[in-house]
Amino acid sequence: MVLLQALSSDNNISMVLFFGTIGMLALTIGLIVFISFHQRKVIRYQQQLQRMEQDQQKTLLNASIRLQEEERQRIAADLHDDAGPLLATARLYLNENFVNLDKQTQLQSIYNAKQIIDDTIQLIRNISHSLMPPTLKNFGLESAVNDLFQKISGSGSMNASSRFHDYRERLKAENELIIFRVIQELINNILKHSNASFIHLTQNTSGQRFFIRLHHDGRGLTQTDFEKLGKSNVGLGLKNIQSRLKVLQGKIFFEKDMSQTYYKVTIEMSREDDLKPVNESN
Amino acid sequence: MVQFFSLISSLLPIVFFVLFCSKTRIKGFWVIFVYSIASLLSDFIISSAWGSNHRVFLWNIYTIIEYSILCLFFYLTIKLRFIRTLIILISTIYFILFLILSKNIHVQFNSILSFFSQVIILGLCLVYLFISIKQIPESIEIVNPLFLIVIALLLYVACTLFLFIIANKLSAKEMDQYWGGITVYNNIVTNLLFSAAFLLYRFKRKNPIPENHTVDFTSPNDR
Repeated sequence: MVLLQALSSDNNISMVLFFGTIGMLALTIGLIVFISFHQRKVIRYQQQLQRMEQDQQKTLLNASIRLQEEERQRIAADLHDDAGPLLATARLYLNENFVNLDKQTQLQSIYNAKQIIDDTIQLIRNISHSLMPPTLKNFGLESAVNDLFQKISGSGSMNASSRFHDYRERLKAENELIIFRVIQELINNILKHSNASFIHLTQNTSGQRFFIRLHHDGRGLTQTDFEKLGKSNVGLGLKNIQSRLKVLQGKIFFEKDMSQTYYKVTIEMSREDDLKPVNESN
Repeated sequence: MVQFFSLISSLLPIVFFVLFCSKTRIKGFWVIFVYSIASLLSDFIISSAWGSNHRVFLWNIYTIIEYSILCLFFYLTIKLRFIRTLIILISTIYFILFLILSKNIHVQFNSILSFFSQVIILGLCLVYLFISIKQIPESIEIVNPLFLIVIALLLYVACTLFLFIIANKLSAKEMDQYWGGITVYNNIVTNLLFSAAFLLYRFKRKNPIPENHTVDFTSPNDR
């Protein structure tokens, strides 16, 4: 009303006041509307990100559960198919009729049963070692990786070598196991899919970052392939690597070497709170 | 009628604060509460017989009080050290300017000081909004009490800026007409927004939005 009065009068000052105030009001309302729209856009974007993260978490969780189930099935199969028949055979040698046998046959039966039980012990030890490698537990990541690479090289199908440049102090046992499992999974993939003739692993640190790098000359993955596989239903092993590294808050990068001859896989993780003196880890 | 609504609206934020926010630890709310009381008191004093005779003096005094309170509000609300230092620096300059220009405090409305105070408050409103957009998107929610308070101040400052610039050029009659008009409507809007902010604070405290929507998959034994 006041402003209408101002407009009707010919007073210049009133005009300035009217248009100035209306202009400022329009600017302010424009700003509020802009902020409101911007905020909605940001919230929508955040919700989208959150949804994507939840989907990713779900995929990783499913992969982890599936892998756990597969591992259980493998152990169950090992026990059922190998340890079960061995122990059943040993039992046959030591059945109720055992006391009625002549001394010579008794001794032979005991010897056979002992052999079978020894085999079973070895089998169970192997299963146990596949669950937790003793070298890793007792001597650390470097020794366990060297051991693994020696076995691969020993098979004669591939040249495998490793070098740890900066591993004076051991990491926490559970973190070393996670890294070892990731390396095992990567090596498995290389052996299965890449047709490589050599693998070389190097370890380094930079500040508080711990790096493991794998080189091989076979068919490899790039980061784009890795991300695609991570979103698809296949690539259980890669999803498992992702979920393991998530525990360490680590990252993994797949790339082709500058020379385009080699593929590189780099695992990067923080050493903060992970470093632990050797005597504590034992 | 409008004057009556203006008076009621001036009382609203004070009543709402006492009812809903009297136990709040948000210092900015307390400052706005003090600002609402100061605004109401100034309205009463100016409309009194003594106040009518010293209207210009009271306007000038109220300008500096209002500026100080609003600067304190932004000082407490914006946590950035740089901005806080800037507020102290600019306010020091402003107060020095006030001392220099306060010769005609009884006879002439000080447009320069008012203009500066409005521009500084306007700038602080924009800084708050800019920082909020950059830092925490949740804080610029239209239903955020502090956001509503800043919007109220922004509207108030934007609408009265031109009035303060040309206040010196206006005759006593024009001053009464425009001042009474623009500031009354402006006061109603500002006070309603302040009241809404206090009400919203109460509502939000009663129904807090859970911050974490993710599901905990770990079993109780693992936690």
